[in-house]
Amino acid sequence: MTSGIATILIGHEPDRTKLIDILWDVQRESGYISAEAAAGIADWLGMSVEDVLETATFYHFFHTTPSGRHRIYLSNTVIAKMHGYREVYEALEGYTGTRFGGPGSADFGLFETACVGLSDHEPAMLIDDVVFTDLTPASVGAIIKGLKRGDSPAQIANPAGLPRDDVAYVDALTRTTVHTAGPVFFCGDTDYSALLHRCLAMTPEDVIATISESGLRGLGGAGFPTGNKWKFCRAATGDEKYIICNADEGEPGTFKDRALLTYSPKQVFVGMAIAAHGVGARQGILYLRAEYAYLRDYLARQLVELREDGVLGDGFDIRIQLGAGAYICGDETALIESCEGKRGTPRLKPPFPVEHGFLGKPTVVNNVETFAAVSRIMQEGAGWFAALGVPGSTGTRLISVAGDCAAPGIYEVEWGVTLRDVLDVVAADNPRAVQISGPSGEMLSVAADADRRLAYDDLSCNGSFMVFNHERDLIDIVGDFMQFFVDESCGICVPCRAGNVLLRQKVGLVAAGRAVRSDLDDMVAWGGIVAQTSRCGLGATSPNPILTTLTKFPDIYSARLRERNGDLLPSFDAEAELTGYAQAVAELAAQESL
Amino acid sequence: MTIRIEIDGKTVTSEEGRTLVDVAAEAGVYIPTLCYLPEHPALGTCRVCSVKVNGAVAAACAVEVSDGMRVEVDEPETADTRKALVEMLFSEGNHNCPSCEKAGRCTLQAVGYEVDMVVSRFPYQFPQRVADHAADAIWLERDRCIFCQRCVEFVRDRETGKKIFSISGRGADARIEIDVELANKMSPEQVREAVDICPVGTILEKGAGYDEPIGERRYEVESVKDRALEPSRRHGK
Repeated sequence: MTSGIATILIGHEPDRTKLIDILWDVQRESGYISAEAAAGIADWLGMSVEDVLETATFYHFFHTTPSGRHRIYLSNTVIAKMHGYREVYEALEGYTGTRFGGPGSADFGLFETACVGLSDHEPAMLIDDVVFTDLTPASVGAIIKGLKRGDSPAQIANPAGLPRDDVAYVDALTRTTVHTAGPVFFCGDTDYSALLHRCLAMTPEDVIATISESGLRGLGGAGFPTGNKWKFCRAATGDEKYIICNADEGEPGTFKDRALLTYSPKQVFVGMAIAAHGVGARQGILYLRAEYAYLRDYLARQLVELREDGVLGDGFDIRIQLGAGAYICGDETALIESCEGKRGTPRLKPPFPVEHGFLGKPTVVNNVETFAAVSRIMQEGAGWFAALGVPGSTGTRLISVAGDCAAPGIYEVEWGVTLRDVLDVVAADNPRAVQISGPSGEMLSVAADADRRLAYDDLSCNGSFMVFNHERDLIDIVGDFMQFFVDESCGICVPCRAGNVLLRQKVGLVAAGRAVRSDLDDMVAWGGIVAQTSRCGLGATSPNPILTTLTKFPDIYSARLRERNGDLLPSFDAEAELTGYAQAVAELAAQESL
Repeated sequence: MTIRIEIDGKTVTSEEGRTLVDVAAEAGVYIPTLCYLPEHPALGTCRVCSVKVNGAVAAACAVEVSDGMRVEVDEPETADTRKALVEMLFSEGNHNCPSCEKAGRCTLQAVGYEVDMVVSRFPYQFPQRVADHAADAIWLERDRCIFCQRCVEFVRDRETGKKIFSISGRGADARIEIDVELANKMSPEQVREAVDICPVGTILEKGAGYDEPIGERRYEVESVKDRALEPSRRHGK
């Protein structure tokens, strides 16, 4: 074992829940997790080597083979593909002299990655833990030149040398446009110490009752009533309880939690402290997606300031847990597994986290936006919040707008707003379709759905709002979304692991003009099986891109179907059959000559 | 607490909170399973035990029964869904039953017969999977792995409790791994237990192939359904 790895291990408790932190330190030191390092970690934590690798190989930012001095991850979201992704991809290959998916060089490893939460500034890429946005071939050239010269990614992205724990640094990297100020979010700073002390003076039951009366529902997307979740956790037996903030904002198209963590981190942390008082928890975890690692130092400083102000540290404190690249960790039980240093595999339910969560203890997991709303509700009152929105969907929510519109960015909208109103506000450009709630949501037809409302009983938006105009190829977009689910399925259950591959292949057939009518019937039937039988929300929603576009835009499919070709059945692909034969003959000939 | 549930229209009494697969079996209703073992916690990975519970599809190995629950097993759409999941497994891996030494005692094959599978409705994927022969007494035939996780969860180093088998990678790229050092410490009995716990022909004992003649193999003398419905067979082997 190298001395570097020995030093890293000594810096961590021999505690399995620290595994992801240790793997990060090793990768930062060596560029990858070698077999020797894995053996050292296994020894330190009392695990088998393969068990260490079981965790390491689950997350796409961990590498078990050399991956270059700088690991470059280019976001391959559909929004990037609308803004020059291909040119940037080629420029990266050209300037680094390496290939995506290839072995890389001593200096560079090139990787594609799913949405990095910067749909307002695509194309975007991560280099180590720094982000670069609005890329062009020219800017890529300058960045790679700088790296070759020996500059660090941070020096290149931050030539002014702003301190990494300052909001100006995060702002310089991401330049988030927030178009609204209030009523619930982004309405200026407040005296959080006074707010928390007012809450602490209330009984926990009264705090929970206030949240229940406000009608607040989880803003991560599932919409579970927050007050009920807290009540169940408070009632669960055990004196050790946890509050976890889900900042694994992985749904492609969303970036509103990034904006909240940038501009209102204390509103979020104080929301966690209020929840802790409500349920009786002493420890909190902010699970921060690895794509947002550039926020870590800044958030850590916010925690220090809150401790100095007496808001944290006395009875309740929060630590930051960095993820390592896995969409599935947005599922609350997968997130808990990841916090425990394991693969992000969703658990079987019941039991639910409110009874059996982190380390088997009662745990509340809420989204960043939910905790921010909690602070505001406790400040302004349940009645004030409940008066916003519509019955059943009270208050407001943030939406992350991207795609074909003049003003992408963050907007706060009252529940009940129509799709048409949102499209007007964001100055949508000739919109044909809106993908609401990301790939797991629904593809809406602007012509048919413009008067539908954002509400839990109609369009239960999770914050992602991607606009597509009439020029976009929706089949390509569906194919991209299905590839996303193939890449991000954890693989624990059959329908999601195998079924999404089959569905992806079918969309490929349509895109290639080789599908027939029965392929569409298969997609509906197979999509239903995947959705009904999968273990968690990922598989339950992954067929949505296909199923919702087949309903809303049947023409995009039927226009590409293969028709009957003379005497031949439409499913008989004469060209493929003949090429297949020639290919087989060529392969056999090569084998015979051996 | 004693409760009453309804399975395919028949009233069944049980203790609250028991696992639906077990309750159904005791009432004479077979629900196919691949990953479930009655003596162990549910894994919920294969989903082949999907049934309708109060109208919604759920994996019966992960359902705790409660009073008034209405369960549909013998319902055409759900039965076809179970069959589809078995077919999906056959198309996902490389399952050549005639040449597999686990044939006749393979649970996947037996369940395939039980759900009336003839051929997979899904296109065969023919994945390239590499076998692993590194351990002294065990080889892994990855072509046949269905990622049920039984070996991962239930076969541990006797001394330290460490995992011997594990999964690497994610999604369709996942594969089963073996910790050779720990595997080489396994006793011959534990090796046979690992072979036996594998529902397919992935974990195999070196030097012990084709030891049961055709006609005497486990599922040739008693169907997987009859075994599941017989209490003495359900617990232990």
